[in-house]
Amino acid sequence: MGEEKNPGTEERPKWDNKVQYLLTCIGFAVGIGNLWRFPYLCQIYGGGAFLIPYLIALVFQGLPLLYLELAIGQRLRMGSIGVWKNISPMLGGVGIASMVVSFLVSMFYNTIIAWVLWYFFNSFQNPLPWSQCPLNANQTGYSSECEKSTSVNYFWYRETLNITEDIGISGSLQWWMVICLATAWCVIYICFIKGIDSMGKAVYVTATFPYLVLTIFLIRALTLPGATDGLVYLFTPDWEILKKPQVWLDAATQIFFSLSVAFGGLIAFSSYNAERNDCERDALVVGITNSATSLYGSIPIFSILGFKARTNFNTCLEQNILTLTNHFDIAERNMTVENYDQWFDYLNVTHPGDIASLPLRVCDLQNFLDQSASGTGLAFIVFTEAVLEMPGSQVWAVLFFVMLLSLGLSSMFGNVEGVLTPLQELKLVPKWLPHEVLTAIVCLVSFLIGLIFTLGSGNYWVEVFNAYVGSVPLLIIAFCEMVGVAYIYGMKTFSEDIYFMTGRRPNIYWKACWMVISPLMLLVVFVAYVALQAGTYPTYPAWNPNYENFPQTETKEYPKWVFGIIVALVVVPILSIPVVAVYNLIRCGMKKSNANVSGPNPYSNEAFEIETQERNTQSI
Amino acid sequence: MLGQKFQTSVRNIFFFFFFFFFFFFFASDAAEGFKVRLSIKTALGDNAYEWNRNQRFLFQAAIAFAMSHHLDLEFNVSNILVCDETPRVSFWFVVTSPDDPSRLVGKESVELAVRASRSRINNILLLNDATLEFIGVLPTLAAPVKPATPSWLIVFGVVIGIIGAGIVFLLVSTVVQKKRYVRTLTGITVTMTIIKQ
Repeated sequence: MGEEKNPGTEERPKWDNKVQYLLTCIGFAVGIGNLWRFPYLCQIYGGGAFLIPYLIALVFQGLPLLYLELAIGQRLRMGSIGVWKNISPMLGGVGIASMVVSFLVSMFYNTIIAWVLWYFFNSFQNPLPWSQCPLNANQTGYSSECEKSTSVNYFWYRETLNITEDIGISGSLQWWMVICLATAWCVIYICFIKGIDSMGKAVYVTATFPYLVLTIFLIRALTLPGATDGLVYLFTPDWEILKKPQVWLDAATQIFFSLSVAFGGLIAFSSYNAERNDCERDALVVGITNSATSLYGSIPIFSILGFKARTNFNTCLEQNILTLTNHFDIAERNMTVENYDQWFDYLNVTHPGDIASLPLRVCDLQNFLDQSASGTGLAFIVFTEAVLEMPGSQVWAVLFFVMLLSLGLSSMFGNVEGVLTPLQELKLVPKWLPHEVLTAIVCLVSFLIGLIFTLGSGNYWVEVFNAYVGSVPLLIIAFCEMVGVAYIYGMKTFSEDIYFMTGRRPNIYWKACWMVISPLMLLVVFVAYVALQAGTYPTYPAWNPNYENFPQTETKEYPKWVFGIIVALVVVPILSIPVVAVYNLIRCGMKKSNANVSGPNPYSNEAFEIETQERNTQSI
Repeated sequence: MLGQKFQTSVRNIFFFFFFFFFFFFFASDAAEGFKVRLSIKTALGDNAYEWNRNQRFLFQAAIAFAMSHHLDLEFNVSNILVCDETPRVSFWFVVTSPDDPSRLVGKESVELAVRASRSRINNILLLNDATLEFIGVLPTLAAPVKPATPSWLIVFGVVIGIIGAGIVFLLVSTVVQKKRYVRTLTGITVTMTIIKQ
């Protein structure tokens, strides 16, 4: 006491109010994946039936993990590195692993935001640039690549990504992507410039705006023709599918990655809280809001997909009608979509030879509904095509991309926070360096390394990072977190901490989850995941205009050097866990051989005991 | 008088066989004629006009205009022969030479003439390339309008300008705040030292 508070001392930043904190956590958890992964999973895993494994995973895996992270951060009031070092020096590696994973994820995640920005910039034109094919070189027809696929595909693969045919062919830096990526990092920087003071103000907008846009889309989408087709298709349960283990695995992984645990960001956020704060209620609010958002968001998404399917179906029928009308010289408007079937049967009876010779397409609504897509395919191909058919396309396109931008930004805040807070705790940064300059350096370095994703082969690299960095390392980190808190920290100590913070001890449900159920589920998910991946050599879909089945993507195997990089991406983040543990074991062992042996507990050293004593005196 | 009647009847028979031959040629594909298909209801919806003799006359006049314009000869409406109409509204037409009505103008010339005046013909009939089809004649594609600065660059410029201004403003305000704090701090220390003395 007695020291002045000047900007730049160790005084820990605080949230302005509880709402800011909750919105930040919700914004971090609710990301683009809620919109483009969950509805897809619902669709392919039997609609309403998928909700059962999803909710089970939420209750027994997602919520306990969330509560654990929020509680531990709030109690120990440090970022991920400090927290785990505090619990046990052997677990210090867990924090470092979280930081490395957050860093790698933030790099490719911001590329997705750069893509969204590019589409956003391009939505202010009439007509929308992805509605038409450009002319080819000598202006005699449309570009062949565009004609064989669609104008929407062409805009995504050629004019946005300028993608190469193979991950080995890097191509050059696409300048328009570079400036979009620079813009994305500038947006992140301006939101983080004053730490959580500025970020906390930004989340008021980025966390709430998506809900507003989703509601607008919901109202608009439900009035579109074909919306009910999409919704019925989405929610019709197929109970048979619950027998497949793949469904349970995907539900567990979806919940896990959707809640953004194990990144260290949630620990950092809750460390800025007041000491006595009901983190149990916070965890429930964040977890349930995240799942509710997924459900709420899937309704307009699927209404619009149903509308798109119906429109495609009608276009298909109308093409057939035109072919038949022209061939048989029937008067216009005599054959319509409604009486097509009767006309077709009549013509088939009277002129079967002619019918067989005509290039008639098979139009099946179910077929169009089955064309599912997730990830970038949903946002940048399927949805942009649907928007073209809606009256006032520019408005809907702009709204949609601003929504994706808000969702992505609020998730990026958590990722970047998961890098900045531990970085300051590592004590690598000199004290005289202002926070703004450190943030600028982190943003600049991430931008420069992220230029990989603006190359011609950038999209393939994003897929690599997405599939391998954002999966196995997180599972391992989460498992270590749970085991560390439940067994190394001790459930008794943890219960006392929670009693101190919330005024009540955790009930049997939480205890059972933390000690047995959740670690077990995590272990099963991890083993199943690895078993599934290890079964086949990893492949990727390549966009190759020279492929014989173009416009279908060509499935190629990753070259050996890329496979090496994949292995490195999985191993390097979690390498710190065993390394730090072994290092501390050796140090512990050496200390023990010098001092008197007090008890057979290999995990205790004097610093740890003094700290726990201090904390016990503090809590009284 | 009988000789005159004989002459007219011979001429009629001659023209009959002539047109019979034409009709025969019209029915086959390897002709000097073009098949035309109109989709009036698709183009105009409720304002669609009825295809009748007068509309056909307008079509013939338009083609006559196109031929005259292209070949710099004087074509008349009677030089454009239309036949084989269907309820679809599709028909065949051939163009006869103005000097010699028994001779047909070649397919290539007709095609070039139609392509040259295509938009004019479309406008006369209130249709477009998709709804007024000349089977075998490729539509002339209009190059899409490209503005000098792509519009996305403008939006990008606005956004990055706002962000850049924001960053500069926030950084400068932090620096100014720090300087002001240091000044007050030195002020306090100076006053404290004066009071102590």
